[in-house]
Amino acid sequence: MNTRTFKTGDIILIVGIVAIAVLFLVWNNYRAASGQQLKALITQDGHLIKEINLSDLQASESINIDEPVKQVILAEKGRIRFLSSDCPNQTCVKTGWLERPGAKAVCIPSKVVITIVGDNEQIDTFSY
Amino acid sequence: MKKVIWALVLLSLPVFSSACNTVQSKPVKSTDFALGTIIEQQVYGANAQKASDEVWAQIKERDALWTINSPGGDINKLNNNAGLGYVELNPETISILREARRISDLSGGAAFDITVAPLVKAWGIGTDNPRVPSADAVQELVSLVNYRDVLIDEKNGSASLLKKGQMVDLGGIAKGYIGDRAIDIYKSNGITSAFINLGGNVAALGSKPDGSPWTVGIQNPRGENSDIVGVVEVVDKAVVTSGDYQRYFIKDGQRYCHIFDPGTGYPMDSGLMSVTIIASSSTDADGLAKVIVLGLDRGMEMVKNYGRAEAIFITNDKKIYVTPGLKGKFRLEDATHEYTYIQNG
Amino acid sequence: MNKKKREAIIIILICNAILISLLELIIPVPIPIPGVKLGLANIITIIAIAFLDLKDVLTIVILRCLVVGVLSKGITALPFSLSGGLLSALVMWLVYKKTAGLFSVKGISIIGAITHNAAQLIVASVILRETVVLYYLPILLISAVITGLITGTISELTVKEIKKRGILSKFIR
Repeated sequence: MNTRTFKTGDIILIVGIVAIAVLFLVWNNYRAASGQQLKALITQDGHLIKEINLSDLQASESINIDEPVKQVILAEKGRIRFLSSDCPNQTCVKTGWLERPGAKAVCIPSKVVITIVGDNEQIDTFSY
Repeated sequence: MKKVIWALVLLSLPVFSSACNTVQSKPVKSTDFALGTIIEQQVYGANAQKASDEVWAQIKERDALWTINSPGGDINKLNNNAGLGYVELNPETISILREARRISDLSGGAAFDITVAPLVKAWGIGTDNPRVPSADAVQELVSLVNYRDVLIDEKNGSASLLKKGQMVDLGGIAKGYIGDRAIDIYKSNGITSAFINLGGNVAALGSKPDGSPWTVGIQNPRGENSDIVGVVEVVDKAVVTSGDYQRYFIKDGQRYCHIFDPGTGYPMDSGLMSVTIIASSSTDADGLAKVIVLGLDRGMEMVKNYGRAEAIFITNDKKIYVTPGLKGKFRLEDATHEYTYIQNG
Repeated sequence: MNKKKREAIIIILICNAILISLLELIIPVPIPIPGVKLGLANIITIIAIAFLDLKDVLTIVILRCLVVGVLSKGITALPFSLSGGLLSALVMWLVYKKTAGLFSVKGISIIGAITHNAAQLIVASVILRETVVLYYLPILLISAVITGLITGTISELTVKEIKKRGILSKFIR
């Protein structure tokens, strides 16, 4: 194969797409850089089922999901992951650890999404 | 080659942007335990360390002076001499007693009264041994509750309690009062950006260093610690919440909280779970938050009569009533989706 | 007669597409994102686009998705493979027919891969009721370029070879 088989449109396309991808990576990184406190949001079917402050977590914590498939989510200080899942393709488990704001792990069969958010516009203090 | 350079430039952007973030001045943060609660300071500026140290020193001093059980403290002296005549007190104690009187006057003692201490003691809420006293006992103790019986002799710097058995407890005002004093100390040190949080009573000076308002989370009255129902943004304001959830006990299915209705002698049961007051003075906010005893309608009316405060009332049926002045400053942030926001008035 | 041959070719392509799809399941995907895969069946789609009508192309895609769905991933995966397969086939067909000569088969294949992945992420967002598109976009784009190049190169060679030998055109055109 020699490169002459590429046409002008191909080159523009590839360069353009890589540029867009890099820009988005930069943007994702930028958002990630500004958060100090990490919080994990676990949603199922669009509803928040658990919110964990990862930065303040001392011991590891596991969250069990029973329906519609059995899953175990493990949270540790500063990171979280799907530990095991009874779903067929294991995409969620293979995603591995999430440790930066914006990172997501999703499981389509159970409709569970873990998202890490930086407590960027975090609350300064609490009145109680 | 050009493309490689571009890619490198783009990739280096996040490094620069994260470097910029660290340039911002770091606050002096400190946390300690005093006045029976957790106190936290966050102070920005050149004198931040000095200012927060001064505040800590003052808090420790006042704590010894005002805690009801501290032997040799002013409040202890005053209570032990109830019905026996005047005792000489620290000028700061005289000052807070005067403030307490002013706050009590706002509701005529219906919401706030610093002499409920005999009732607090009889019920023992918050201690290891809470109990429901007999109706007769409550009746008798209610007759001792009257903030007007705290007599202040300004000239001699002394005060007295009129009747034997009467007791003063500054628990309902000390945190608010010290919040205002802390703000004074910050200001005298040239600080323009700081807050102090005394067990949930927040007093904020100025705005954040970047000019944005302080964000204060409002506790979900039925959630865990730091579960919030909403966020209020403030500049130069105190945010104080009174809630039925901080200390309570349940006996025979009845929930008894630590806030007393000075009129009945029983823990308040007004249909409100919490009241948050936003005002310039943290003392006033602390005092006004006690309108939780009066219930939604009378409470709101009192806030309106006071005129310089905004409020967030949360009722037992999880409705959040917010005064018009908080429009755009309060936002519902309720992860449980159980609360309903209602704009009041 | 011509019609019979044409149907036979469609069926052969469907069978090939199914086989390739099943074969692909054995190849592990290094990127754990819903919907991102090599997309070898894309090769068949491109061959179909080069020699057949849009209707035939879509028929091949739909039947391939249905059979592979039933045989391997189950019905829940159907919305994903169908949306990705159909949308990418449609877009590739449009690009192939309307932008004569601007892109090589490799370029068209990349466009198809991007459309395919994007469609899957959009379906995932709908099902999960959460926007997952933006976060995955960079990985999605880059992996589409890589997989598109691989399948595109194979498609290009195949299409060239088929044209040279006139295997299909003899019957169809």
